[in-house]
Amino acid sequence: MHWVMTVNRWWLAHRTVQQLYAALRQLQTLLYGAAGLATVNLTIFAKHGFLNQIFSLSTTIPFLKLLAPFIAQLSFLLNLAVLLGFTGLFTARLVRPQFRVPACSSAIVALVLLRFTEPVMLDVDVLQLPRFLNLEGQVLPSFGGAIILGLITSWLFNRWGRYATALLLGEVGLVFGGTILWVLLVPDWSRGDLYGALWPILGRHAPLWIVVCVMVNCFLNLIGMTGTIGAGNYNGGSVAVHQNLSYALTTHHLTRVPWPINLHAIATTYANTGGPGMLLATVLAVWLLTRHQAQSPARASWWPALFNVGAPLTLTLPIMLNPIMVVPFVTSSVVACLIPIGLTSVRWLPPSVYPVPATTPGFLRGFLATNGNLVALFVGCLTVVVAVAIYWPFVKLAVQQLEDKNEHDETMG
Amino acid sequence: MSMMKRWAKWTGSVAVVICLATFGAVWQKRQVKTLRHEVPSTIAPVFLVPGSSAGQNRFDPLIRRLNRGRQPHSVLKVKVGKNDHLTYTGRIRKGDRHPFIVVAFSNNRDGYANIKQQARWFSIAFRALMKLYHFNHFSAVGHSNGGIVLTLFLERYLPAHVTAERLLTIASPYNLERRTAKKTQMLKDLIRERKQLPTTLKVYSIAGTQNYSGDGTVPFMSVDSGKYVFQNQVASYTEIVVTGVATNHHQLPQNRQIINLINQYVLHENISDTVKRQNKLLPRIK
Repeated sequence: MHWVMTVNRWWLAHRTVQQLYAALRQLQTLLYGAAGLATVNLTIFAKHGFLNQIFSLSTTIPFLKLLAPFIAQLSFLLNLAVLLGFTGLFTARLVRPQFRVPACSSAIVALVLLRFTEPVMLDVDVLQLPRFLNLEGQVLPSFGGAIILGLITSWLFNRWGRYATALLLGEVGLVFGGTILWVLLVPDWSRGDLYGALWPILGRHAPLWIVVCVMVNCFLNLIGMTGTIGAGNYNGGSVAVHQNLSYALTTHHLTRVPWPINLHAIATTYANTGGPGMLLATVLAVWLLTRHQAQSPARASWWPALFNVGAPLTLTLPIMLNPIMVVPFVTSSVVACLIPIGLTSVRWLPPSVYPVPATTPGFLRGFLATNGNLVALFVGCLTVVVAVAIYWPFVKLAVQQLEDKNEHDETMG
Repeated sequence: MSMMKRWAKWTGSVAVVICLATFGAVWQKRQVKTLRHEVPSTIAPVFLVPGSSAGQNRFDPLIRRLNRGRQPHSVLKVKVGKNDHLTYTGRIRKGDRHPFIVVAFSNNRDGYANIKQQARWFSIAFRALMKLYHFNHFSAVGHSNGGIVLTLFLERYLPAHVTAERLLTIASPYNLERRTAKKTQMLKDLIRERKQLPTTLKVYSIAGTQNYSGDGTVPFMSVDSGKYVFQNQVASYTEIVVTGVATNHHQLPQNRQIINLINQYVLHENISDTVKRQNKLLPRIK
């Protein structure tokens, strides 16, 4: 662990990193509120929400359907406020005081253009915007963009702050033009789902490529860059998923589905518990380590993480851009893939074929996607236990680091 | 107190997880069942129902001719006893998408009361076969009263999630042996319950005419009465009159033209694309 601490100390010595964490801490309360509301919206009010589906809430609770669009919009706006607030705060912390207003405005406008140009150009339905922008639950994807924009904007304004108007127009124009070029030049199929696009070629080496894809996605999550670029689509829209489902529905059994090992059946089902990186395991580990404290970071995160909305802990522990968490984040996901791959190969575990809502608790996904197989339930729980064990020593360090920081802040305050 | 609180928390968490798992499993079973009903099964059998006085071997010559010159469709024969007991002969070959299933009855006598009973027996056999072979769509051919049995089944006993695709009746007397326009009780009942017929069903009613009035047993007017049952209710209703050799009522299932019609309309085999387009089995070329 010594080398992890060395890397971490070197990392934390940077002023930019300190400002980044400080900006995130400032937004903590708003972030918890946004993630909580997003979880309520995604599980209860959303048409395909897990709780909505299993308890038939749409039909049993009056006015739920009527309220759903308002809750969705509120959740969208609150999450957007977190993102824009972070962009503004982070930029403001890095730029000289006299350039704060134009620099923050420039970064916020550029971020709005970065996130909204693509759906507007692709003619996405307005009601689908929150889902498309991935802002309902996971505010994480845009944070990478926000950090980069904050860094570039502050650097530009610190250097050429006297040309504030020209810089603002230039940055906004460049981001707008760049996004348009991105949409026009980069094919739609390659943006969010490289694995799906390359699946016909990769099909035969599925286990290897699933692990590679999960590792790439984990790294992208760790630097806050997911959504627009992605190694694999975890939503299960691939050919393998459709062929498996069609086979299972027509033959009424899962034993000989054409693609028992595919990204959806393995990674989405078993390695996405609590969100990418097995975040439910992180929440459990943090909770077990800090349960005696009055302000446990896990307290506000367990409910979102149970339904795979992992944003709060990712940003407040933090996990994103934290060298301590790189190893367990990637390792736990890879191990959570290897266990079901091995068991499926020897036919002890039936493949996960049937669709389940995105907010289904991770450890129940396999159980429900196999239509009630108990081995799948056991494997779902086992992956969480193994992930907690992997996270344990690293979370211990991260929690210690957080406590030290809080103590330092209190002393300074 | 603290210990109690901790136990309560743990028990509560476990109860929540068990509740989510149980309700989730129940919901998923329901979802999968619905999905299975929506996705067409790979197997879509063709039911053959003989007329009164005929047994389960009634269609043997027809099946032999239908299977000639191609990979033969497998044949399963089911006889329904008076005590609802099912006796199976033959088997469905694995991979056969359109096997023939002949359903015959121990009580195969004529008369409306018997026909009603036969429709109920057919539904018993149908449900048993559905459980066994997991199909959710099918076509059917009925000769003489067999066609009436199938029509009654479609009106009264067709399970909600099952799609009846095509029904071909051969000389089926919808108004029994009556040669006038006056409706029998059976026809009145069939007309009264016609709204229960599936709107996506395609119906082909074949009448044999050995002479100007009928096929020697069933009057043409009686076959023609089917229009009161099907017209403006099902997706399409086509009446076909077959004349020439082998148009006697008992010879009709072996009639070459009728075999071609079964091939064309029920099995969708050995038909040119032009004919398929004419019969709206393929979209028109624009």
